Formats: sequence, structure tokens, C-alpha cells
Amino acid sequence: MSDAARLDAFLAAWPYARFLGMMGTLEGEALTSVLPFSTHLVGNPLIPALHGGVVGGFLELAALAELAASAPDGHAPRTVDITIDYLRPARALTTYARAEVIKRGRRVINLQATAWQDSPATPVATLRGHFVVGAQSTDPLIPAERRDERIL
Amino acid sequence: MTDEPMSADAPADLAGRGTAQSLALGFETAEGVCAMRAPFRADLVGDPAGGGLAGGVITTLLDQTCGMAVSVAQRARQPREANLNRFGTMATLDLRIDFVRPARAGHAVIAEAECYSIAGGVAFVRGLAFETDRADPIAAAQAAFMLTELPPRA
Repeated sequence: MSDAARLDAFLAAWPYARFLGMMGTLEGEALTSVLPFSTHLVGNPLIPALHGGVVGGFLELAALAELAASAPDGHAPRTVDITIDYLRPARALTTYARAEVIKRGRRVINLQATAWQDSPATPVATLRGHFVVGAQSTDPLIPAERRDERIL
Repeated sequence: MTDEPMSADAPADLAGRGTAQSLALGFETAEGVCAMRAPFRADLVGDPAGGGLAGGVITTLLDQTCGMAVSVAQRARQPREANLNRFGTMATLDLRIDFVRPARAGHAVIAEAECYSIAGGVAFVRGLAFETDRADPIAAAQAAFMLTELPPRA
């Protein structure tokens, strides 16, 4: 399966990605996630600006899409934690994002992602986070006493 | 969600139900002033293997609830100030979310938030998301909001 096919499969499989209207473009192996503006994404109607949660959710999806597109099985890992820094208001424009793996461990991936509108030189937000890979990573029904095993 | 118009003297309502995104996600106000509930919806699922609400929905719910907690805290500090514009603007500086576990398929998610300090024009907030039991959380949030007071109306 090609990176493009894995990306398309990821975006088609995640209902929330469709709810946001997220798309992705691949140039070689470089994935750019694209979020066209839509009125249902607005958080602050006065500016108007995208909801901070939309920017965060889009950045997290951009990170997961990057990891899914490059994963042998095409599966996205599980998000452990994310920190979003909001740098500028995300206005009523198309938003773009790129993710970069900082360190790929055996179970845990450290990643950072950047979102921009006008130019990558003026980002609207950045994300850094940890993502865990593995068969148990998507199982929501693991008993609480075994939860630590998923992250170690 | 109700169809009542936004009340001009209730900042919590502005954060609680005044945004297109929260309406699109179907967020409802829940018990308690700084709590919101995201009903389960199939079109808001994240990883189809788990089937629960997406992390982004939880992030948005926590961000919105944290913002509401700031509005409530500001109102508590200025109880006689009824003019919304005097509260100025609020911008999220940063938001950290710890995803303890995925949300369960078919379940609504509740978020609660508390603004524990406002100092130097910055509001500090923490929040928790869970289905029914605070002791079994889905996610925890820590956020900082920059507050900008607008000048009084002429």
C-alpha cells in the first residue's frame, strides 16, 4: 500500500476527519494536511476565528495522518498527550499543517506539528505530543489496572 | 442545546453555547456552571477501531469548558459588571491534553473545568473529561488564557 493510499484510508475511516472536512496532499513522502474554512468550525464569531479545539483537533489529526501514512499497516497510533501553543488567531481561511517525527521509539513516538494559513513562516499554532504504537493502543476496554502496560 | 437567545449579561453563556463549532458538535450545558457534555454521535468518532468520540472532540470540549470557567471566574471577580464588553477578549495561550484512555463507543463525554488562578492578565485552568465517573477519566487538560480588557464604552 502506498503512502497516498494509507492517507486516503485514514481520512476515510475517521468520521471526525470528515466532520472537520480535512484533506491531505502528498508531495513525495511529505504530507500536508489541509482544512478548508467552514462556518461550523468557528469558535470566536467576532474575529471570526476557528475554535481553538478545531485547531488542536486538526493538528492532532495531521500528526496521526502523518504516522498512519508511514505505518506499515496503515494504522494510526494512539495519542498519549498533546500540547498546543496558540500563536495567532486562526482566521476564516484554509489552514495547513505538517507534522515531523522528532523521535521514533519502539513504542512511543515524539512528534511536533505546525499549522499555518498565509505562510509556514507565520504559524497559527504548534503541537507537540507523544503517540504510542502497538496492538493494544486502540482497545478502549483494557481494564484500568492494566492501562500502564499500553504506554510502557 | 436550547434555542434561547444568548443573554447579554451571562459571559458563561457566550462560551457555553455561542460558537458555531460547539453548536456543530452538539455540545450541551451540563450540571454545574463549568461543565459541558458532548452527546455521542457516530459522525464524531475518531479511531473506528475504538468507536468512541474523537480526541479532537474532547480537545474542543475541554477548551470550550476551560474558556467558560475563565468567564465564570471573571464574573465572580466583577460581580457588578454586567457589560460583556468590559470583560474584553480571551485567547488560549496553550492547552495540554493528557489522553488517559480512549472514550468508550456510544457514550457521551462530560468535561468539567476550574479556573484556579487569574494573575497578571493570564487565567490558569484545569479540566477533566469523563463519561460518568471522575475517578475514571478519559482526558485531563491544563490551559492558560491571555485576558485583554477592553476600554469602557464611551
